[in-house]
Amino acid sequence: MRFCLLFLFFSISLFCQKLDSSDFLILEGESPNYYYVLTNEGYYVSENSDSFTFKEYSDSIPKSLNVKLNTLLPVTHKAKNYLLYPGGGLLYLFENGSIKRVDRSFPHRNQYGAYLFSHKDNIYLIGGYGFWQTKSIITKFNFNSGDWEIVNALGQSPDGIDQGTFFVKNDNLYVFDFLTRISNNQKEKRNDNLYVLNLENFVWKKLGVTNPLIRSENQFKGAKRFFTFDNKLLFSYDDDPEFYLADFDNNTVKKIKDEVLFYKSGGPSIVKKSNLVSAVQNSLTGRITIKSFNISSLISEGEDDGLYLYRDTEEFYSYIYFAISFLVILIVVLMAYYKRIAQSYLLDENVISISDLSVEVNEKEQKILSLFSKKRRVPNYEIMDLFFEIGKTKDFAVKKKNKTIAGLNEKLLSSFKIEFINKRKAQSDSRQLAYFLNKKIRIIEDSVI
Amino acid sequence: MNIELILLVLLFGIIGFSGSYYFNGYLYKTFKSNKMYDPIVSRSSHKEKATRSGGMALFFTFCVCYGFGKAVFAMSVDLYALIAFIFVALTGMADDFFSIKYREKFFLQLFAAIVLLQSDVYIDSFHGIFGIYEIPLWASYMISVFVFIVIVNAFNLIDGIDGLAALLSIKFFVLIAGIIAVTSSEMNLVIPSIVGAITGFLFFNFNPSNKVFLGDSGALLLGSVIAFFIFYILDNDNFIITDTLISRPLLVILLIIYPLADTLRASLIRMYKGQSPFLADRVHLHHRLIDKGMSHWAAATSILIMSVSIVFLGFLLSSYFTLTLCCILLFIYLLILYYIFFN
Repeated sequence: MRFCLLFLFFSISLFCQKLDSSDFLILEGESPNYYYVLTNEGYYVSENSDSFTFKEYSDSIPKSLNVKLNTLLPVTHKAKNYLLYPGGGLLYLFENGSIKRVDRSFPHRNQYGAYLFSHKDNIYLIGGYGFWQTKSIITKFNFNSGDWEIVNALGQSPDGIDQGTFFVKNDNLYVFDFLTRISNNQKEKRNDNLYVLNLENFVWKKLGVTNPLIRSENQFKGAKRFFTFDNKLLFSYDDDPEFYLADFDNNTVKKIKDEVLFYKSGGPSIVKKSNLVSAVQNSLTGRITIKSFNISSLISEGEDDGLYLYRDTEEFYSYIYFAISFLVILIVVLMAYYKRIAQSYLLDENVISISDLSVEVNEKEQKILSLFSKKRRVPNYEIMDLFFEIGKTKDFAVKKKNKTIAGLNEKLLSSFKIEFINKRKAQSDSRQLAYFLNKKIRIIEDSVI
Repeated sequence: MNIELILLVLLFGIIGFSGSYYFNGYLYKTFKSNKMYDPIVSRSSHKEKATRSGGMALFFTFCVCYGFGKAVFAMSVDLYALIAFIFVALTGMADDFFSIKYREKFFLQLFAAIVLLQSDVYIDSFHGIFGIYEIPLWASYMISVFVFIVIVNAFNLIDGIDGLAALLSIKFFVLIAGIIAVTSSEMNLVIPSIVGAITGFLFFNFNPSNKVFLGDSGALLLGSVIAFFIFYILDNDNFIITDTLISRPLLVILLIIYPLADTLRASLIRMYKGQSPFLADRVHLHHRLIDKGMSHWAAATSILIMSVSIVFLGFLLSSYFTLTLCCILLFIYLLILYYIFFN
């Protein structure tokens, strides 16, 4: 095992170019050079995919460039490499072996984590984070004045675009998978939607929600990389050994899992032609190596999972089934509820009512109904208590009770078309009488008033 | 479907339902102890004592759900839209308590519509109706304001029997939820909150012992939220997943077919009689069902089922026929329904 490791280390040392410092920046090189690697001491030029030539800068690095090189935002514009100071403002040009400042601006510190891109004759900077807010502003570099200008955009602009994934194609800038934090007291939140900005008229449109399968829970703990490859967007996350190839024209995304490539090509990378150029740190020595991987075969071999990128029709149909099921369940539940309360009669201020029907009851009748609002079975003696009068016989009370209940039953039957009260003898003792409320009926007494 | 989203939808549905149930119960008791009942007049379809606290309960529930969703999840509705909703709800509350004059209410609604337009969501295209697509900005604003006022008042006018406005609002939100869920992740938790809140309200609306009405505050609030989502669908900047299945204006009309048809019919009848189209009376279609002996529940459910069937028929016909033919067939279907149920 030790021998294998030593052999591996020796092989890497022999065949790869090594950099001592972790502060470096990979840039696309103009033809015929392949790519550049800028360091503080000088720069490496590759003339093929694996070998470097180290050269010193022809002029010293400008003093204003007082940040780490790997924090600069690079962009290739008209075959020239521009470097933007973090947060925006200062712009440098790497040309003829030297870094020169080309702006007349100042460090804006307003667009950290923004995206720098070139479109037609201009360099744009979009989004970012600054002064405790995420931004969705677009600034354009004016090559004549050397300053940055704000480009006004219309339409459905996102509230802020921090650390987004971007892709430029056919005058459109696609943006997704970004963080938004509007006010100071809010935690940054991930925006799940795909937006497109038309770079001709600067109008934003929201295309829809992106596929939840292409995002991992903790993706913002690690950095992400995205490149234009074969007119598609290739992107990956530092904590996920999967590469994604998004085709915006066909609304598809392909997952490609390659753990070997993932572990070998972590860190700062660029894609040029069919190669992924990456910086890899050796776990044994801690030294960083620049390597180039041909990914065209990998992309073609990757299986198409048929995943949608945004707004899936199938998902919409499943929502519709869910909606129909919900409506059916709601109607059934409400029907059951309504059936239960349909025969609920409200007893209130000498009136018993249901829906738009109401019947007036006298004081005695109300007291009888009030007893039935408390329990469905009322013993005869409880009702009798309502009719006893001093100086009158029990027989008089019985007759009055029977007459009142019969009258009440008749009155309610004629109005509500349902019999309310039944008289039955107790099964154990036939001398014991009780009155029962019809099982279908519920009487609710409005006792508060 | 995304499991995480389903759980969130259920969570917000439950929060909306529980919040609404609590607020409705609480406000009912408060209104009752202050004897603030809805007056029973000759046009009233009820004889029970009922409070007009439903709209207020819905408003409080929306506030709780939105606050929770905004603080914990990425729920977001444009600030101007929120201001417009709040303004409309407050107008409705004022009307419930003090009876605002119609003209004043109209101007307050006009103001709310103008505020809503600031959210940048408005009708900016006819989507091919009469061969017209993009329309000028001034026309967009005017049409959007007009549509807003029509929808808000249409939902207010159909709130004549128990459960009707609430059930038709639920139908609208449930059917539109799929479109919103795949179009905008910020708003996909707004709809379960609203549906949960309306469902909680329904248990009071149908209950004879604790009867609660939506009131103007509820009807206007629901109408304004519905108007916002209709603008969202008709806004050309939004990509709507149903574009390949059905024309956007047709979809919108089908989603609110009953309030629109009933309001149009009632206004035409009043004008034919030489009366004001805004006169309050009993010429609405739902009153016909009640007069035929149907209970409020049966009438509201029948109208709900009919309006759901129209939406699905619209989707079905759109996939086979041209827009014009589809409209003609749907109109025939409406006439059949009218002669079977309402004539």
